[in-house]
Amino acid sequence: MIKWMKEHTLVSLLLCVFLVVVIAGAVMYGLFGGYNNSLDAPAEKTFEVHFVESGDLEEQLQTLCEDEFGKQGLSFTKKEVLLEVDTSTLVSGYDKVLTYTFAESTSSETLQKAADAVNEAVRGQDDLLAADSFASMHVLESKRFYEPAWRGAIALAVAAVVALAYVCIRYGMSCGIAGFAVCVHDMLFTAAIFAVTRFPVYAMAPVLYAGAAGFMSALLWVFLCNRLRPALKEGEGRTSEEIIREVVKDSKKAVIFAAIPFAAAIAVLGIAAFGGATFLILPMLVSVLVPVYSVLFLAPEIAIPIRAAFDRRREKASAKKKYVGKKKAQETEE
Amino acid sequence: MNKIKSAVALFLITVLILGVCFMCAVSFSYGSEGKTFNSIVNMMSKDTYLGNMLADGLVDNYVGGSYSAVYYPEGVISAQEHADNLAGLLEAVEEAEGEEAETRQKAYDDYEAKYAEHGSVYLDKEVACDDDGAVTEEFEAEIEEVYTLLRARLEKIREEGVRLERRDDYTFGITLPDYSGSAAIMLNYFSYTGNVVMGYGSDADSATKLTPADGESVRDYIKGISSGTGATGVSYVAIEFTKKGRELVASWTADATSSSAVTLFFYVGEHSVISLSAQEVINEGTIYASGSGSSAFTESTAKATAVALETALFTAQPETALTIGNAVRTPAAFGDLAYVLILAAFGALIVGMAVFFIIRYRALAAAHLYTFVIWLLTMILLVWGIPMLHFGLDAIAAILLSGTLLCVADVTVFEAVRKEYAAGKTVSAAIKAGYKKCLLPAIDLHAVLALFAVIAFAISLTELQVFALTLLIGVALSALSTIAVSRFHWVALMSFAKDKAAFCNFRKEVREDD
Repeated sequence: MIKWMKEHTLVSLLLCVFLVVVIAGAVMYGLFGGYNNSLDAPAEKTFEVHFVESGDLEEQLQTLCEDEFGKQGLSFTKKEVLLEVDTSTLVSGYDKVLTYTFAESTSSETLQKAADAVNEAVRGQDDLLAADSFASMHVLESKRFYEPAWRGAIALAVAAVVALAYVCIRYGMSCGIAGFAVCVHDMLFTAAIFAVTRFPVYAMAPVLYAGAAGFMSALLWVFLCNRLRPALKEGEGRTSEEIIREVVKDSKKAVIFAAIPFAAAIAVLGIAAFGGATFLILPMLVSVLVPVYSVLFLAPEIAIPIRAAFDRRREKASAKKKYVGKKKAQETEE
Repeated sequence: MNKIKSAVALFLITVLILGVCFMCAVSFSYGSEGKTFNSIVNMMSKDTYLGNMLADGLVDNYVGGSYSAVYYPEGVISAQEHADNLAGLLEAVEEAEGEEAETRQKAYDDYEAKYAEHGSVYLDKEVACDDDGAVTEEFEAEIEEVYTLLRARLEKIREEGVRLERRDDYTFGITLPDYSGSAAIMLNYFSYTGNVVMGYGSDADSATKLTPADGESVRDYIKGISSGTGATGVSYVAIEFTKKGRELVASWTADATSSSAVTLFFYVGEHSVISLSAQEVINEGTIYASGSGSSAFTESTAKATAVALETALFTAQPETALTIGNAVRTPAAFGDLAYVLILAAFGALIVGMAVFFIIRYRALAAAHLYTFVIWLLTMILLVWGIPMLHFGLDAIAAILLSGTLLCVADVTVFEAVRKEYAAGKTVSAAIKAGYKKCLLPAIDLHAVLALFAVIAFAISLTELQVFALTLLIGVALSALSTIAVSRFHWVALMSFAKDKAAFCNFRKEVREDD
């Protein structure tokens, strides 16, 4: 093993980096019970005021609540006025809910105090009382669904196998196996990066990023294979290692240029979209950068020994075919 | 292709593009009754993160976002309901006099003593907690069962944006996406608890219900429940019977004729969710209920009904009933501007792409832009038209990747043609040779990506499934566009050019003589 690692320094190093990141990701995932899904607000507190719309009641209630929050030293993260709907028809009427969202760490007692104070104030104002205004605080904890995540992981793994089986048929075993290896590497590496960095992501995002990474690595690897195939066919008299290294060296710019539009499109859309969409789109850059790195550095290192092994087998097979018998061989020698 | 043919073809394509662009992007009011034409981009289903108000600006015409409701288990009421009831009783006390006032005061005191405060909810001491307000173990176990049931139902719906939350320890908040098209059915049906019950008769209330013998359950009669949509587009709920169930249904419908139909009812607990009119004897292993008229199932309502029944059949049922509290319309989680900003960002990307192509290829850029616009419009129409798809962040990611793939593929082909031309061929010969050279690699590239997407779509759920399907469509269209559409536009547009090389911004290689 150590001998093999010494002989293949680069690929060993890259695999070590991969293993370290993936193991660290798995540990972090286990320790924190998943990714950092803070964007999905897995736990929060809300302050809700139900009322029936009339005149400037909404503004009055907002002022009342926010004054009370000020007195209690509370600061909310989000404010919304939601429309109540009929549960059978989903049609809205005049009932509304003024909703303030607070961080999970906000004191429930202080929020309850604020709710009591608002209700007390409502009782003192006839118009608010007539509008059935009522304030309450709530502690929310959202529950996760695991089926989409594990089904997604299986889907991506099977998709990688099938897609790269096509590569095996069209470009040869070495390209197929190397392609499968980088595809799986990229998906795991991408997913692990988000677990290690604890970068805030939406619950559904890591599978999506892994899927995008698998797509990109398949794309870039086939792009490279399209250059490798003619070179390997025409490159008689040279070893496949020499040819692969030369093609990869010549194609570095092309692969990077092929990836740049994807990265640019993600960056522009991510930055221009602002707000929540930015947090979902911009991290997808990782799904482009990881495949560029692995296709240029890791995939050739995997493809070369496999190709060499297949070449040796082919040579042996062709040598066997050429066997003409001892006598004839001696005669030819003479 | 000669000039006249090219002109006619390009004119027709341009008119078509403009027409579809108009349908996709422009909303307006017309007529004296203030009717509204909403663009496809406006009407397209949107996920819970994105949302958009339709052109006529009515509140109920908001597309996207979600609906949320709170389920209260038996023995739990909201602080508002508690306060309202107490206020009503107090008002009654104040209005009464003498003995009546004492009776009403007692009712008030009893009500006040009946409930224990638990944060923002009140717990009934007879059901949920003891006199000191400590929640009983039985009630805790009931709540866990409710949670398991709701979780099973929401997970089986397999739609993105579905959310289940525990509120104030003993109530449950559920959020269902607007695009599902069956949020009302789900809000109601998912609150039903109890086992599946079969019955027959003339109406749901007076129907004769199956009473399983000792040691039997309804699972001895029903094997499974699922939903689907047939080739004719009719959605149904399929109920598969055991041998015993089949015989029972046959006996119930033995006297059914077209003039005196027998209605079969399927309940979840006390609530009828399917009624099926039989006009002849039903002696089938599986029956398919599709509803009729306004109560005909859609794909999503059939799925919601099947999930409610299936979970009632196979999941442990809590004894507690659930009451739906307030339900609210939740607009897009990213705010109302998010959708417009994303469209604007796409616009900026398209402009950037156009500038790059014009600088690099001059007039040839028009061939790519024609192709790209056709690709984009087809994507919009398909995302709008395919019921499973909706415009969400997963679809955006897929459109972004497949759109960029089309651009990269076109650039690769253009560069191959440029090389052929530089090597000494005429422009027409270079196009032919360039496309020939790129055909197989392009097919291979798109085939690998399409395979990846199709497998991911077949196995995955929710977000990844939408992403994979959109990607599959995008990649397939990209392949078609690169191989055929782009080339057609190139040839058609180039037929007007006097200097074809200048049209493409191609130059011959300058060779120095020795």
